[in-house]
Order: sequence, then C-alpha cells, then structure tokens
Amino acid sequence: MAERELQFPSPARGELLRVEDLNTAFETPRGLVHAVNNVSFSLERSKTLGIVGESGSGKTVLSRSIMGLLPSAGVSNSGKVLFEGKDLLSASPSEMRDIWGARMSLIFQDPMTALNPCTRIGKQIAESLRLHLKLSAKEANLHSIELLRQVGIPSPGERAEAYPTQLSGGMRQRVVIAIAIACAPRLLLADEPTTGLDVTVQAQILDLLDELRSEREMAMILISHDLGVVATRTDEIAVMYAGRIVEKAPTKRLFANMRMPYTEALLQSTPKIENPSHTRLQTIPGNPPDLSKISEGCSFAPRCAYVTEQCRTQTPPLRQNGTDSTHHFACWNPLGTEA
Amino acid sequence: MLWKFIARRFAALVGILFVISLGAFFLIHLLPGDPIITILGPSATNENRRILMAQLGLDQPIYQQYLTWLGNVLHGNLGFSFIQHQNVTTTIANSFPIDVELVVLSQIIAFSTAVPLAMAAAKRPNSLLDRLATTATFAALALPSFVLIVLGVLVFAVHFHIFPGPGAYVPISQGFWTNIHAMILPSLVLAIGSVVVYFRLLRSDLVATLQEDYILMARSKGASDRRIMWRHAFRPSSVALLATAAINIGSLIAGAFVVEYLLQLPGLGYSLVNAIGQDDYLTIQAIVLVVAVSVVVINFFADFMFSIIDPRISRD
Amino acid sequence: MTEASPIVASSEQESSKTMGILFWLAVGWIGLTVSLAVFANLLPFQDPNYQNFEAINAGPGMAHWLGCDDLGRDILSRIVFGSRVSLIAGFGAIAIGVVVGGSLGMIAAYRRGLVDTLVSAALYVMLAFPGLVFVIAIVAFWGHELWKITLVLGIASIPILFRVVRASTLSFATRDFVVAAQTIGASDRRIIFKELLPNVFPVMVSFSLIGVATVIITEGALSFLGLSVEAPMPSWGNMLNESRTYLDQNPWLVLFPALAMFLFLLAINLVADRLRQRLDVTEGKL
Repeated sequence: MAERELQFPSPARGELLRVEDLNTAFETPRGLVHAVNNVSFSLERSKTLGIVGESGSGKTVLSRSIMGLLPSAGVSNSGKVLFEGKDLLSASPSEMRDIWGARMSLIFQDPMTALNPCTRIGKQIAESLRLHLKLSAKEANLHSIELLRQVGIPSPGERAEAYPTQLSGGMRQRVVIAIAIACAPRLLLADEPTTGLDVTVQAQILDLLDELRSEREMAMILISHDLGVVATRTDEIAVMYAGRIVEKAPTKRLFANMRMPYTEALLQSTPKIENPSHTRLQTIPGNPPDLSKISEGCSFAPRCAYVTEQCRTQTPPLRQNGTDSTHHFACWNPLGTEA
Repeated sequence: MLWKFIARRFAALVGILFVISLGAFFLIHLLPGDPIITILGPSATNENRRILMAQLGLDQPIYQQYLTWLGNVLHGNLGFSFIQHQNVTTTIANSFPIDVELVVLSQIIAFSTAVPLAMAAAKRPNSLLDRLATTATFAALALPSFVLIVLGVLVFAVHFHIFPGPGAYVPISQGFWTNIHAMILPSLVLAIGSVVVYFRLLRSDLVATLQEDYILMARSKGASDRRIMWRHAFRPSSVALLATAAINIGSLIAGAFVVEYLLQLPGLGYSLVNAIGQDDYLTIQAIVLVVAVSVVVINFFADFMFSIIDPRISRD
Repeated sequence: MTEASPIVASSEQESSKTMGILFWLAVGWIGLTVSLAVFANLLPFQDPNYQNFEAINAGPGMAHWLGCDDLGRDILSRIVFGSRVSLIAGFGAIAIGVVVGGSLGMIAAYRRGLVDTLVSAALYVMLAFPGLVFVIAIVAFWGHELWKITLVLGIASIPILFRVVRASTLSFATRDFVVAAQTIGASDRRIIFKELLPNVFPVMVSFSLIGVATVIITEGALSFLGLSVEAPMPSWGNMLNESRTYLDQNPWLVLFPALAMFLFLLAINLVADRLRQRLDVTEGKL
C-alpha cells in the first residue's frame, strides 16, 4: 500500500463519527472481494456528508460497514469506526442493538422491499419506539401517528392502520424515514433514498430529509450515484471509486475546483436541464473494476482520459490540495495540472 | 366476491363428499357372490337376513338402495355389525378418540421440534446444524411409520424397557400417566413424519424470508435476533405451516393405522384391521367412509386457508 | 442485497460435488436390487420358503448370511425375493400413473377449455382422498392379489401425476416454440409428442421416482397390516409383520428387512432429488 500523507486533525469539538482505515472484504467463490479499501473520513454533528459513486463503487457496503449490519460469515473488517467515541467494529451485538435505531439509523434504498408487507405501518414505526424508548403500546401508537404527520403523510391516523402494499413508493419511503427518525438518532445514513422513486417525488423526499435533519440537528450521510442529488444538500462530498475515496472536499469547493478526473467524468455524465435538446448523453467509457482483483496503480486508470504511465503502476495516495486541508484527492495527474 | 368464492368451494366439497359416498356404497357390490351371504357369513339366520335386507334395502332398485343407505348414514346409523354384535356407530365412536389423541400428541411433538429446529437451521444456512438437520430429515423420508414403530418397539420397549410394548393402552379416564406412557412411542413415530414435512417447508421459507430487505431493516432498528425470527420472519410462514399440517392429515392417518396395529391401540386403524380379519364388511365400509370424509373435510379447510392467505391463488 | 448471495452460493456449489458420488452409489444400489430381484431364480439363493428346522431363529453366519427367521427360512433370500413385490408394485403402479395420468395431463393442459375443466375436477376429487385408506378399502372387498394391488395403487397415483404433468405442460404450451409449430400447421398430436413431451419428460422422471418410493411405502404398510400378498410369499412388509411376535428373540428379523427397505428408499430419494436439481436448473435457464 502506498504511504498516505494524510493526517487527520485530532478529534474536533462536535465530532460525531470518525472512520479510520476501514476495509471490508467478502469471501466469494471467485475469491476475496475488496469492497471497501482504506476509507477514512470524519463527520461532525448536524453536518451532511454526501458519498457519490457508480454502482459497484462500494458505497452501500460502506454504509452497512459503518452501521455494522453486514453478516458475520465470510466477511472481514478492519479499521475503526468511532461513533460518539465508541468503536463500533469491536462492540458487542447487544451494544450494537442499543445503537441501531436509537443513535444511528439507516434509510434503505428500495422502499418497496424495506417494509414488512404483513404488518401495518403504524406498528412498524411503533416497534422502534417501544424497543428503545420503552413506550407503552398506546403511547407508541400516538407517537407513530405524530411521526407520520411530520413526514408529510396526510390523514396519518388512518394511514397508520394501512399495510405497506396500500401505499405508493413515495409514501412508503416517508414511512421508512419516519421509522428511521423515530427515536431521534444522532446520525442518519440514507442509502440512495430516492433511487427507486419517481423524479417528481425525489425532490420532495430530499427536501423532507433536509427539513428533518435541521430540525433535529442530526448528522446525515447521503449516498447516491447522482451528483445532482448531493450537489445542493451536503456540507461535504466524498467521491468513491472501486472501494476507495478518491476525492473529498466541502461541496462548494469540490464543484469549484475538482481535481480528480473521475469526479469530472461523473459531473459530465449527469444530464443537465440547461443543455440544448438532443445533447448526447455522456457516459464514462469502460466498466467498473472487478473488486476481487487488486491491481496495481490507480483503479480508474483504464477509463481515465488523462491517464499516464505512472497512473497504471502506482496507486495514488490521498493527498491535500495544496494548502487546503479540507480538500483531498488521489490522483497523479489531477485536473488543472499541466500535462 | 368472497361469498361467491366460498360458495363455489363449498359446492365442490359437497360434490366430493357425494362421490365418496357413492364409492363407499358400491364397495359392498365389489364382493364376490351374494352380498348377504358374504356379509352375514356364519350368522346367516333368517332373522338376520331380514334385518340386513332392511338395512341395506337390497330388494330395492340400486338407486333406491343408495338413497336408503345414505339416509341411514346421515342419521348417524352406520348399520349393525352382526359379527361384533353392536352398532357400527358405537364401534367408531369408541375408536375415534384414540386417533384424536394420537394426532394431537404427535402434532404437539412435531411442532415443538420442527419450528425451533427450522429457525436454528435457517439462521445459519449450511452450518453444521443445518446440514445435520437437513440430512436427518432426508433420511427420515426413507423410514416409513411401520418400519419406525417396529424398530421403536424393539429398541425402547424390548431392549431398554422405557416404553411399554403392545397391549398397554389404557383410556385416560382409567389412568392418565399410564395412558400417556403408552401413547408416547406411537406419537413420537407419527411425529417424525410430520417433522420432516414441517422442517423442510419452514426452513426454506425462512431462508428466503431472512434475505428480504425488511429483515435487515428490522435489524437496523435494533430488534433482537429472537424478535426478528418470531415476529418478522416466521409470521408469513405460520399460516402456510398450519395449512400444511392439515394437508398432512392423510399421511398421519396412514401412520396411525400401522402404529395402532402393532401396539394394539384400539383406534380406528385397529378396528379396521380387525374388521377385515373378521370379514366384517359393514364395519369396514363404515370406517372407510368416516375416515375418508374426515380427511376430505380437513383438506378442504386447509386448501381454503391457503387460498385466503395467498391472494395470488386464483379464486376462479 | 448482494452480500448474502455469494456466501450461500459457494456452499451449494461445494455440496453439489459430493452429491455426485452419492448419486452414483444410489443408482448402483437401485440397479443391484432390481437385478437381484429379476435374476433371483438363476442366482445361488436359497429357497425362500424352505424351512430348515435346525436353523430356527439363527443369527447371521456363514450358512445364512443374514440369519434365519422363526421357521428356519433364510432371511437374505426372503429379502431378495420379497423385493419383487415392492418393485412390481412400485414401478408397475407408477407406470400406470404416468401413462394414464401423464397423457391426460398433457392433453388437458394443451386443449384447455371444457376438457381440462372436467378432467381436472374429476381428478381433484381423487386427490383429496387418502391413498392408504383407498387401497385398503378396495383390497378388503376385492381381494389382495398383487396385480389387483398394483392396479389400485396405479389408479391412486393417476391424479398426482396428472397434476404435475399438466402444470409442467401448461408452462411450455404457451411458449413461442409451440405457437410457432401451430402456425406452420403441425397437428396436435405432433405438437404433443415432438414439442411438449421432450420438455415435460425430465420433470416427469424425477417426480415418478418419488412416486415409486411412495407406492413402495404404501404397499409396505399394506403388507405390514397383513393385507397384501399372502404368506408364505415374502415381502418386506410381510417380514416386518411376522417379526412382531419374535421381537425379543430375534431382532435380526426386524433389522434386516428394515435396512433393506431403508436403503432402497434412500437410494430412490437421492436419485430423484439429484435429478430434480439438475433438471430444474436447466428449466430456470430457459
């Protein structure tokens, strides 16, 4: 592994989550798949981090690794995930169960499958409340209805008795959000919360998340493959490729001064409404790499427009952008340098 | 809409019961020679002949015979057995409770074994426990009840003297623990067949359910493994399991016959084999009818349960 | 949720390799049992009915490999000759079921409409009926010669085979290659034989084997109750029935027939299971 020049500042005031050198690998018939490689970042309270990458970049595995929700068989983890000072990777199952839902929640990608089809939605919300806040059935019920109202579901009293199949995709996602925020967690992980939804509904859901987050002063990690989704709603963005973070910066700075060619490619492949009609949709040529084979050199090299010989043979470390300690990228031949 | 569906299913049930009654009725006519002589055998006095003629209406045209017989049956009169010298209905009423007890006991054992076992296996698929359980249940398919009961008696009664051998049955009213003691071995043997069916069904259902997103969601809420298993994973399968139990009744009956035969438990199976041995055709006919009707009715309810819980099964 | 699948898949692949050995062992055992049954008269087995009074309840030994029963008859030869009953009943009944039930199933599925509704309804009635009771009823009134039993068991197996074949045919009948054959004017008969049958056949084979096992168990129970072939003719069920009286004296009377039955049924189940896995997988890929 190439030596890293990155130094994290010592725990800042208000730091909620700190991930250090997280590695996650799976045993598969094809070999060991390295889904998450040396990921490090930190997140302060009430701040939003966006994690962007193509499918297969490891972002979902990352979110599950942070939560600690991966199956134990055939999975190896290393590194640290410090949440409120506690290392989640070495915590016991019962300690984790106290954290899940109460201090840290996950919003799933597909609202169609995230809810139990046989149970009424009111009860599904109440389950969380009764588990952690030890409310009585009646109290939990009232509270669920209130939560449904807060996530913008009309006639919440009636809807609480409905089954998930009776609700539309957007509504279901709101219910999932209600469940996630029920016990007022400090950290919300939203894994592609809008991917399965209609375009019109997507904005609503993202706005809702924003609102709830600021009301409750939650930190959020927003995961998406769509730069557009994270562009306006995050304080900081981390770009992932092949299980690694390849660029990380406060949002405005990232867009103003992106250094990693992959970030540029991502941006260019997002269709923009201002483009004249019939503009060709740009895609990134090639395919995401096979994570069961660790190769030398930069994992993006085969698809990069600016690739050099060094890119193919040495893995670029994550380094600072000049004097800006908030902006890091991993590239030998970043944008803005002379060829 | 639902009423239409129920009505149609019920009509089907009546139709099936009608066909069964026809079948049972015509059994008598399968006998070689004159049915009266065959049925009465040695007790063929003129008096008995007359009684039997009246009972079966053998001097009437065939469709009327059927109606007479059917009328009798529906009034609870299954005939008088000249060989046992009692009403067949009495014989059946005395035997029936033993079968009920066997079924109840065996199913209690079966469910309390199969459900936890399937849960433990589904939790860690392909673990040692899972593989052992799957292999054991597969092997059990090759051990029918009559083999198991003989082996069971050989090992537990003859060799180890833990359970009693043939003839130890005592009605509950005469001794609760003696009764249970005598019933454990046959119930265990019957339970094994059921455990195999329930385990296989539940395990594969649970493995599939546990991979669903909403299970992970429940975990992310902080629910314990136990809670997830019982409240989230098991729920969708529970009704299917009950319905399977009902459908399983057919093979339970078959199993009950053989265990009763070996251990001399005075249930329907034992009475049936006795009746065959004594050429008591009326009793045979009646027992077959009662058993068939019971199984069909139970199956009907099971089928009904299945179609209610699974809206995909067409209600046409 | 891709996390779970790679982990489960690898173990299934491992177990499919070991099934290969077991599969062939099972096939071999079935072949052996059938061959012995067929050629028993030509092989140096003792007469299954010869009563050697010196050897009553003898244990296994050089003269009698599996010992003798209470009448001095050699257990091994009784098991071999007795297997004939199970094999004839099993394969005979299923042959009837497959030919009649299978044909009806394919025709009903292909023709649909009134034919399908009537036949399905009629056979649905039979399906609800418990098999053993049905057989006992008929046998008690009609007689217990082996051919009668086989016939009755065959009739009893028609509904289930009908259902399986019908369902399988239905899934194929709507596919393009059948429609294509119809558009070029192929006759119904030709379509059924040349297009549908080859596809339905693999499903039928696996299911039929399970049917054979079921029939063997039913006949075994029947024999055990004393309702099948009469003494002195041996059958596995008969032997177990006769062993009842001597449980305390001669456990071999129970153990060997039980083992014979167990091994054969296990072999059939293994073969059927493996075939089903193999053939169903191909189905999925279509």
